[in-house]
Amino acid sequence: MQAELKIPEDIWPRRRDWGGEIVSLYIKEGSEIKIGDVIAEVEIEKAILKILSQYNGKVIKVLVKEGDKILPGSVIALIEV
Amino acid sequence: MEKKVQITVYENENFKRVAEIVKTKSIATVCEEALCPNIMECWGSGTATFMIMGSICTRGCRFCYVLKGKPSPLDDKEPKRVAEAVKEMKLDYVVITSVDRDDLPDRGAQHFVNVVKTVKELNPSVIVEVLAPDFRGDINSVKKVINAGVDVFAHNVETVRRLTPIVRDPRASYEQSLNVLKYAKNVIKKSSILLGFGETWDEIIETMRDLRSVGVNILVLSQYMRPSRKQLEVKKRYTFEEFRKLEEIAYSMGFSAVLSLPLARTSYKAKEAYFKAIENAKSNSRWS
Repeated sequence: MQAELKIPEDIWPRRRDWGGEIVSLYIKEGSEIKIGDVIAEVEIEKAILKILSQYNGKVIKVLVKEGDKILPGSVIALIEV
Repeated sequence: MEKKVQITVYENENFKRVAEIVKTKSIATVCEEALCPNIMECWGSGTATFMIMGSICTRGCRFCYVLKGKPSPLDDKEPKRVAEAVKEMKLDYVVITSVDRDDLPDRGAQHFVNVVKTVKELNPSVIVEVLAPDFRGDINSVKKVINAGVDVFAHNVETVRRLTPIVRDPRASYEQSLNVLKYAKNVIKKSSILLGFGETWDEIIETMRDLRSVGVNILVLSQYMRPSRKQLEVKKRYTFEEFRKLEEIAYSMGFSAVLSLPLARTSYKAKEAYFKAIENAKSNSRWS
């Protein structure tokens, strides 16, 4: 089954008016990831967010690169779970 | 300059439970409205800081991410919903804050009273900390809120005297905030200073001294983190060592509990700070 690795939308559930830039990406196509692995670091104005995987699986397609702008809910990659 | 802090984003079961309760009860939290960096940790441990009287503030402080504008009318069902949320979350310590309501004749003091009383009626053993606005310096409002059953009265001076007109809304003032704290009686008093707006070391010490002189027992020192490009820029990020030094100075001034960390926020580890203050006051026999 395919799943989407996303920037969480609900870090601050009532506020989704933030965004940032991917400063580090730790996944590549073909790599295996586990729940809790750091998949990316995103710089928002306030801080650096370390985004963890919520799935165990294999990365099929990476949809972003370092320097890309992201919003809450942006899809980072597709994985096979 | 020191780097931005890192926040690890994860959602445990407690986080989801808190999110569900505050959503179901339609309660705003400052954790969300201020993009608080500690939300994972606090909600993850089952607690949150409720923000009453809506999520729109009548003031325009230039460090704050809370939405500004014309607020909605007060909701007289809110006290009950907050009290029920405290019960559902099984909280033994709750922090309640609010937006500023300069549009209301009493700036929301009676509503604050209603919330505190209802929370205590439904949860008789809960300890209540309020992080209150300045009520435009109306001391009777301050006293009224405290007499509703508040255990800890927090009001933030936010910054040093010189920078107050730049950092805070023109309706706030350094003296007004000190007065609010001065005339808050028969309660543990708490205040926070955000660091990083360009204040000098001596100005921080002076502000700490001013807070102590009006009887503040619990002091919070923390790093200002710019929420978005619309707010003031960060002039300095302090090191852990500098925070540690300030903590030492604060204790030497006689504060009963001090939280001095980059990620400290007024309500962060509020319960721990409260018990520390109680413990230190007992051993020092010093209370004001």
